[in-house]
Amino acid sequence: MRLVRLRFQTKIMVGIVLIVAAVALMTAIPVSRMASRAIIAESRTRGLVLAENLSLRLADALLTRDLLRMKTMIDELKGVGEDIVYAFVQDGAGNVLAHTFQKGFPVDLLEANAPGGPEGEVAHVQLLDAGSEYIYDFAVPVALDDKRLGTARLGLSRLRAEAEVRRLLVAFAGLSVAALAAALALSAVFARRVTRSINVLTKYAREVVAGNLDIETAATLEKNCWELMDCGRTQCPAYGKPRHRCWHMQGTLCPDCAPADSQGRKACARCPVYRHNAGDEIQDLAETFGIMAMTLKEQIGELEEAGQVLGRQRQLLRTILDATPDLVCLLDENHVYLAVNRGFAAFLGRTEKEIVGRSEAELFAPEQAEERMAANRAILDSARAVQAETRRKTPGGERWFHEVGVPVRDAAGRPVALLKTARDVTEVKSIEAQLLQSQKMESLGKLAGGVAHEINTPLGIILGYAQLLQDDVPEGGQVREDLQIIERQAKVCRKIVSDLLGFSRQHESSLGRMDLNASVREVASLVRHTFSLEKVVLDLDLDEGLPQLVGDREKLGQVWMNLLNNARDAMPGGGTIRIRSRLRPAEGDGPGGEASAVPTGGDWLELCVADSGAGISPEHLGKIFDPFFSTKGTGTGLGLSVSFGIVQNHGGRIEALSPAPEELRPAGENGGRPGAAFFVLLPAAQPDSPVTAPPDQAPTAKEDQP
Amino acid sequence: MARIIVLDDVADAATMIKRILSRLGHEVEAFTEEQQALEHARAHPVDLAILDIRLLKMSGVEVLEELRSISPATRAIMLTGYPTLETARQALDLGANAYCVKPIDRADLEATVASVLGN
Repeated sequence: MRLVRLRFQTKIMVGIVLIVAAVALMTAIPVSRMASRAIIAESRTRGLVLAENLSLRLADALLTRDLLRMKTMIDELKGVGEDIVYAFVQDGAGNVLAHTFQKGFPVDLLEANAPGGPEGEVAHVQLLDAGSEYIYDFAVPVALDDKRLGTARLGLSRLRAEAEVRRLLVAFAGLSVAALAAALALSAVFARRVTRSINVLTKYAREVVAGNLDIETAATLEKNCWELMDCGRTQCPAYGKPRHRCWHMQGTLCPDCAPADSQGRKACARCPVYRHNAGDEIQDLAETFGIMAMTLKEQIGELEEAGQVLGRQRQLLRTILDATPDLVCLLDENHVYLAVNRGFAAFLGRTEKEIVGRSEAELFAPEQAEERMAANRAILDSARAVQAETRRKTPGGERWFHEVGVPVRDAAGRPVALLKTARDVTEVKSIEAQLLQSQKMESLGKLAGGVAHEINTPLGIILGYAQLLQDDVPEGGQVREDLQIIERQAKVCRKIVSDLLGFSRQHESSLGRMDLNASVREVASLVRHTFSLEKVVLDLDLDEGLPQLVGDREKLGQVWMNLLNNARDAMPGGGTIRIRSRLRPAEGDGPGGEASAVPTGGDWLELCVADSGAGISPEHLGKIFDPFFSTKGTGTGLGLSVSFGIVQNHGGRIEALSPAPEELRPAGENGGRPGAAFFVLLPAAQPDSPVTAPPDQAPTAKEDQP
Repeated sequence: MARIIVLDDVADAATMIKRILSRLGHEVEAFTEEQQALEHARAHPVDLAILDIRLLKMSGVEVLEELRSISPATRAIMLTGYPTLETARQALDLGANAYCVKPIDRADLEATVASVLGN
């Protein structure tokens, strides 16, 4: 097994044991060597002392040549210790006088050692190899008053000293082994303690890798920072988190903390929270890890939230793009569609999936594709937005499109894609044409009005003289008939001129609170006399409880006048015009209880002008408010058109019904004739509505146009 | 029969009215100049003045005002080129007794004159 693969705990144990073993070896070897050397030296010293002692005691015996005493002395000496192998005495000539050998004296021994010094006066030690053991041989001279009497010899076995040394070594080895065992046990405990935190960290790291960020790697604080500081700052990110250390957190609100990064952890050294809770490096690592996981979780949460926001925005954009009726598409440089909206897909009659990834050439007929690609290239080459109105064939017929092409640039500003939008402007085109037409009509009307005004006076003179002259010619004559024709046609002209003047007349709009009934009465009184000449009677049925309305007296009076003239013209032989006003509360029935409903919002005032004439045919009913539409042959067809505009500009509505509703028909008259009824609906003034509110600025603006 | 003056900036129009009303037996003087008409009114009693609203130097309304200061009893009919309520109301407010819409219809004129004089 490779060292790297060993568990951290094992490594710590092995390391500690190896260190202890090395220390033990390094100590035991020199110590044991020194001890054995000391034991050997002590053994030699002992041998020398014994030999010298023997030599001193032998002096007398040698002098007296008492062999027996010598023998006794050396035998006693040998009995002192087991390590004393032998002892013997030599006389001055070197002859052996006594010895302790049992089996005969070994002669070699005589030559093996002798006292040193020039006169043989110094003791000498010689190590002898006896085959089975080493023996120290001590040769000590025996002297009396400088007279050398002989030599005392002692053989001391080294075995005893060596046995001492061996015992010593064994003791050392035993101690070392005990130390190693203790080291092993202690290292196991230590390693387990150290690796426990690391193992916890490893486990959490695996959890984090597996995606679980809800982990608490650090132990709970011994004392929480908000309790220690008694701060009560619940908004602080450290508040209420018993497992997180405040010094790892960003943006804490502790008043005692120096701003982050300025002093770093140094500032914490003085902080009671840090001093209370700080641990060793591994705890620090675990805490940092926990904070890291928490931060990671927060950031992942933010990321997820951002992803959701992005998704929602994407959906929103998609919805907007799909909801617009415009055709929107994005193409790359090679005319391949990158994205299209629903409108565009519907225009092509395909799904979005069928279009995206395909080129113009694959989606359109060759000629059309070539034209589109040329337009795309023009935009990409010029790198400028291009807009144009084009007519395109669609399944529903030819339609006009307002097309805009915008180059999409990359970071370097180079056009790399093309955003094209197309809006169906067929309706707008048609309205434009109508507007142009109505503008033409308006200028024509003004011109006609100018001409009419000039013609009025001479026409009056022609009419007057034609009437005057009739008196001068006899009745029934040709001249009189001719004059009558002139008179009749001059009257036709007068009516035309009058209508034209009404149509083209300009005057400032002046709004104010006004009473509908009073306005109607005024007009009725103006025409009553003239109408009576034509046997037309006015029958007023006005609701006196009507609220006021905000309007232009002059213009609304014009409307009543036009409606009354119109009713009179419908009854050439005379008849009754019924004029009825009433209040129409919001959400009521339509005019006459059967037609359209009242517009929503507050109360409405209704004025109805009904005649008992021949009525209006259904096909004409839809056209009577169009300019220049007339069935009378004597009008310009402008009266009702002008009235329609005025009522609309007051925020009201004007409608016609024919036959007139039964309750509006003049009683007992022209029983068989359907008649027609015109209804004008105008909003009642709100009690607090400003009188300057301009419901009809539009006509003023329109009339100011050249 | 009544003494009537007619004031219209177009001489033919004034003359025509004079012709129509003369036939009814009225004593009619036609003018195109405002001052001439007013001088006439100062010199002679006038029962009815028929005034065009649009004149050369003054408006018919101004002439009417002056005329009233000369001869308060003189009745007046205003001639208007266009039958707007505005002019009609204005004329009546200033004391005109009636108004006629141009171009003048003989029957209309006769009826109006009769009704004004009758009142």
